[in-house]
Amino acid sequence: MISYWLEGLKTALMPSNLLIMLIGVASGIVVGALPGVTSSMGIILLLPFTYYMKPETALLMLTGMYCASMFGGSISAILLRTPGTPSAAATAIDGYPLAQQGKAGKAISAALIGSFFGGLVSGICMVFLAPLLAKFALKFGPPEYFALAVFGLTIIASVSGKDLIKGLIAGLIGLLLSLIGIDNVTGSQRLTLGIDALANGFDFLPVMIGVFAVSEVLDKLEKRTPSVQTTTSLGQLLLSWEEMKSLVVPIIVGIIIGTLIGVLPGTGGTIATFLAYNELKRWSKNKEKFGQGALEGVAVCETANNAVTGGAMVPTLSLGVPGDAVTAVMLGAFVLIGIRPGPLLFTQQPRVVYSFFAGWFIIQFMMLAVGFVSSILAPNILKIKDEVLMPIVLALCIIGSFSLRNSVYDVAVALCFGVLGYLMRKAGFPMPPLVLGLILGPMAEQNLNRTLLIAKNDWTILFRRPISLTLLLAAFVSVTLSLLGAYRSSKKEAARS
Amino acid sequence: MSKRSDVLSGAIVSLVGLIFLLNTIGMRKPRIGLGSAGFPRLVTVCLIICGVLLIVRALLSKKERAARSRIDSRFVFSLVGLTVSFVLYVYLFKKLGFILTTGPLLFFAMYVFGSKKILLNAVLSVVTSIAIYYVFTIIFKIPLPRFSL
Repeated sequence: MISYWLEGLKTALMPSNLLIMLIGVASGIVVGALPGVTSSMGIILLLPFTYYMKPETALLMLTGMYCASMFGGSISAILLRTPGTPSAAATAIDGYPLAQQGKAGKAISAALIGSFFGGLVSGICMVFLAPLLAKFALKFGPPEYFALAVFGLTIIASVSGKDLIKGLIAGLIGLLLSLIGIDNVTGSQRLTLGIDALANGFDFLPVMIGVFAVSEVLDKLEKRTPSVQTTTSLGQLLLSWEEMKSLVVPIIVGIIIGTLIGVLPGTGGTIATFLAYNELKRWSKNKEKFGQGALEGVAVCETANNAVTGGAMVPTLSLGVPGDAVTAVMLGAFVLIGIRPGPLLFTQQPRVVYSFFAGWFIIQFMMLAVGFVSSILAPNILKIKDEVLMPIVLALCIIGSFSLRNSVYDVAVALCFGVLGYLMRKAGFPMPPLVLGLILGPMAEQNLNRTLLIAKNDWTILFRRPISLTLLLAAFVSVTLSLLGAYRSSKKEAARS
Repeated sequence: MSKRSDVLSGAIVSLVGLIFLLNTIGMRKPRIGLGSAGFPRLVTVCLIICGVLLIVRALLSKKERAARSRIDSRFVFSLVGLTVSFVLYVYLFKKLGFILTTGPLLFFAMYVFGSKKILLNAVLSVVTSIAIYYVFTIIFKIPLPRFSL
């Protein structure tokens, strides 16, 4: 075992491999920061360059792209409220207010530190707990996934802000949008209102670009308040000791939730970030800070986001089952470059596996270094005047939504949801529940359908299986606690007035 | 938010819920499983209930929670202008290509955002759209629509 590790470390530390990893990391950050260019797309773009490389070298480059693009998504989420990757949507909740307060540099630094630890610790889990975690993942069937989706939907209560009814409505609108188009179970069209274009449904990314970024452009048009740019020196970029200490708990929460969610096939970073954000907020003493610009909020999301990377590699490597959409592309890339993931990978190609493990940790340190440079440079974007910056953001929104499927329909969706999101925000509806509903809707419906098919309409199956029962109980407790919290804060407010 | 805004929002939400609920009529329920209509019906009924709750809450509320702000006519003009330009943009995107549609949209957006330097706006919008076009088509290999006769 030790000889494999030494061999792997030697391969990963070869100057040519270090350079390749650096290219992967740097391009990953750029790809992640660009709205619409997702991590999966980044990996696909890199693939042609890897054809002539040795398998281990190619793997290191792709891993650099994979890990760094997860962090890169936070940059545009923080600076422009335009999540570069879907899993950075939750980062925008606190990251953007921080940027508006002139703390963009600190927000990116918190995201970077969270991403670093998320990647590092989930990597350790990947190396040492892979067999155990893979067994845990295999216990998840449709009832467990449905219960997980229900648990995820309870987050709506905590990301609704002060108005629970409006949060619920936004979440239900998200759920409704996720149902429009082709029904995955029966294959028939539904809820299209006779409009053919709606048969395509609403993809998550254009909707998210619309409700977050385009609506922000329209909001800026109304308010015309210039962004504050106070990150002028290195001191303002670095986190103080107190701020660093405040990130410890969010990082731990992010690592645990991110790694566990990452291990589960078919979930992914978006669900993990919202879950981690919700749990941190629920147990925090300063709940009111969340949503207003809490560094902890940024750190927990980005830690969970990057912890998913290590978690998702567990079933990918040990079972050949991808943990999320990006690892599904990675799995395809593995096969293309001559690596066959599965239980035999560790015995048949140990050289590749251990150089990948060693490279994984080196990549996290590279991401820290390159990310630090990006946290110095990126906030300068806010120096550009709004009258120039906002139209450019608009152009990036357009191309971001178009590039997903090369479809004008997605551009129309992004622009329509921009206007709709703006009007909803004006009417006091929070946007994060809408996004949650859109992500979790298909997962909840498809798995409930499968559960009922398996159990022949016997709903009690959900309560007979220990994991689904635990998750449903957790969902119940989550809703109860949120309602109690809302009741207490409304009482306090009434007493104050 | 004002009472009026909440009543209006609640009414729109309930109406949307109702329209989609009616759209599920005719979807057959299979013997086993939820079928196509099960989940949409659950969601739309909840949406209608929440919409009604929002209306009731607004009507029962004694205080006007926020003073009605005056609407800036210049902003309304800009918002409508930008929305119309979005519609035109989507319509012409495939026909005229990315550069020929994005350039004018950027130029108009810059003007609406208050940049009155026409020449600078023109240069910036042309340069930006060409730069984005080449970055995405050449580096990221994303084929964007081009104008062709």
